[in-house]
Amino acid sequence: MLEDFAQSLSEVIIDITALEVNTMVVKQITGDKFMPWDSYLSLYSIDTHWTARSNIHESLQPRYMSLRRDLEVEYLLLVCNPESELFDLNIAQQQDQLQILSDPNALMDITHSHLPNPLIPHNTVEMQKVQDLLHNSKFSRTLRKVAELKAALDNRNRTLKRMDALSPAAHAEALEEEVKTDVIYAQTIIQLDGDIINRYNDDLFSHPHRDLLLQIHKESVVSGERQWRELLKFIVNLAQETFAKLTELAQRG
Amino acid sequence: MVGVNSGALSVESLPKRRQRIYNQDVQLDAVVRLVKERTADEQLLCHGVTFHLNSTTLGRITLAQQRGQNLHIPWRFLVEFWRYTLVDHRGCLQSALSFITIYPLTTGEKPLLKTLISLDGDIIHQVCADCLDYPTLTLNLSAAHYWLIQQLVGRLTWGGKALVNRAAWGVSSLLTVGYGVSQGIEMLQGGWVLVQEMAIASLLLVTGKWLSQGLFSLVLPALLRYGMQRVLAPEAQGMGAKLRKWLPGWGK
Repeated sequence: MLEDFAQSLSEVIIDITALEVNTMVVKQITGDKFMPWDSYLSLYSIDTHWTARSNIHESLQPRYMSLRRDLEVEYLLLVCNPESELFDLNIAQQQDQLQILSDPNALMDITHSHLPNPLIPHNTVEMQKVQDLLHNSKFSRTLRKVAELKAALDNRNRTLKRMDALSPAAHAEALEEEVKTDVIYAQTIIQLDGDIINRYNDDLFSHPHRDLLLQIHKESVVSGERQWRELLKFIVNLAQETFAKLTELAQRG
Repeated sequence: MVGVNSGALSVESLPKRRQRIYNQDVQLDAVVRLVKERTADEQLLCHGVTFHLNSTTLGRITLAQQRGQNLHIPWRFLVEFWRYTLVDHRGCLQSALSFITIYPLTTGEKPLLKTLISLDGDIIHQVCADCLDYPTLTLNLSAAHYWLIQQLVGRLTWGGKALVNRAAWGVSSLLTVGYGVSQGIEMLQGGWVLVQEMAIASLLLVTGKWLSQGLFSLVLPALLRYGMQRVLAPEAQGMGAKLRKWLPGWGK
């Protein structure tokens, strides 16, 4: 247990390459429940032959696929990493099947996806693979972020589908008002080497609350940096003490 | 815009009576809550932290920021928050921390701000579109939201803070002794390494009155973390499991 804990902490620290702050405007702030299994199931179901596609607004389908791809890429990077607990030599050696890492348009269906399939509950081997994956701290972090973005996308989808049902005139008016939500307007990346990258969504500059959003993002970056530094200090401190304890135990043993 | 530091007054320049007020922590216990859910199989899930603000409490926070005061955090809450920061209900390292600010904008309370902080450095900050029509309120709410997060996260590291003494003493003793009892049989069966560790830990805690402040601040946080980490283990049985049940919002 202590070793696993130390391992997870060290992975977090290794995983830190930059601080990334994203500011979004959302129509509705969604519930605060993150259930790894449910999130994984709903994201896994999105593939090239996605049956729910008919319920998704056409303009959003590529974004849903992009989220699914993020998850697939994260998994492949883990199973191809010899230092990862999920390392899988069989997949790592099949270079021809790793097309998704280099091609954003690569096919992603049940035969091309490497992610463990959660839709076959009678298959205990596959279920164990899903459980192992959901217990991997790096994958969990990615899943959490992707699930958060999917929740915003689901909100946006509901709005767009509702507007589609309106008359053309009402639709144009509603679109003008509603389309400005559930997107990331500003992103700031502060790299460990000190480089700072700012990205802004095109729509920000025509947004009626542009200055307010920029001000909120600025505050968000300043506060986020401070809060994350505290969190990092806490984790590093804890990791140091855990490793010291492990070393001490090893020396005694 | 009222920032944490921008409007802070110099406490030293104030009369002593006012200095005392400024040095007091601001009590907003009902404002800061952990969102918990008990499942059918008696598991307790913690989904995040919510800040339930209204015009009065928002005003108090703005004032506290200007005065440079800290937030009073009850130790029970801190212990729960500590656990939430580290592990989820499955005993895995927490994937991200969630903070939501709720405010009665027009009719009834509504979540207006949300911050998701991942340990690997990704932060997603969400603003509800409805509050953008009230720019001053939005900026004040944002400032309060960030300040509350900072107060909670800043208290995680414990070291050197006055908070360490009373709360940590109680929790640390409880956890150390509790875990020692829960592992008693294992100890008697030959877990001598553990016996040594727990004996040293207990000795340090029991004789703590005579320890110097410096030694205390160095040793206690480490013991506390180690003890908590062991008790937090999902496989902890016996007294460990009972202890987790007893502690507020703890475990199965």
